[in-house]
Amino acid sequence: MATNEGIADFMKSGPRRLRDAEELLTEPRVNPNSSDADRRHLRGAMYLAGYAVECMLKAYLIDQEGTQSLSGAQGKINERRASRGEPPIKDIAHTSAGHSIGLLVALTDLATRPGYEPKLWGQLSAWRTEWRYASDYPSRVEAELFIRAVRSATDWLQPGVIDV
Amino acid sequence: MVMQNGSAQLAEQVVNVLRNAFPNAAIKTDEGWHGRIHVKIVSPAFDGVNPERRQSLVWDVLRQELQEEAQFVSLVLPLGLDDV
Repeated sequence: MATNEGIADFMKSGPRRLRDAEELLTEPRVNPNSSDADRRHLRGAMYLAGYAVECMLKAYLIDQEGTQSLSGAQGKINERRASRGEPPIKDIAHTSAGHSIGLLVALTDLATRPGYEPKLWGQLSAWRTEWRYASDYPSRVEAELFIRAVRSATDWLQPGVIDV
Repeated sequence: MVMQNGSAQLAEQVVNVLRNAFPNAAIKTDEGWHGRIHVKIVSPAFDGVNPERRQSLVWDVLRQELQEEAQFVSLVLPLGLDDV
């Protein structure tokens, strides 16, 4: 359950997770000459990079809804939906639903913003928290493409789109 | 640009054009921001294909078949059978 769910928390942690991921793409210091040195951290890098997107989207949602927290943003979204007779959204503040990039994007107006790239956000939506259990090594190309996509998205969101 | 047909009609169109292009696919649409459409498509055609190329395969179809209406599709998630 998220306890740090204010916009400042997400705005700080998002870029940090991306830097973690980018560092994992570099040559490891531990056993740098082992046969898997060039790929053993690639899945971890992709896993962490996804959180950068998640954090930035949550920051955007809080900003969009003009609230202080993700729970508050969720509340405002649900108020709007209730006024239209629609059911509430899944609990993005306290459940795994909040890890769904596709769901978070659907709750934002990002698709109406200049510079929104549906192909980029589609790529990012393939991210899964279950990657933490994956024992496979993705290819370096796959990992670098994904992390480059994350960098593009976060650079677009901050500081130009998220206005804080 | 304004959506010519309703969101539900466009969603149906999206499913139809993708079904023609990917005959064995399972396709689901969801609602995005203000009636925009999100698409999930599962097909063996995406197995072994990198995520960037998967996007291109689907978007080439959407843009060719739906023309300007394709802009109301705001997210596509293509999955291979190996992914599910």
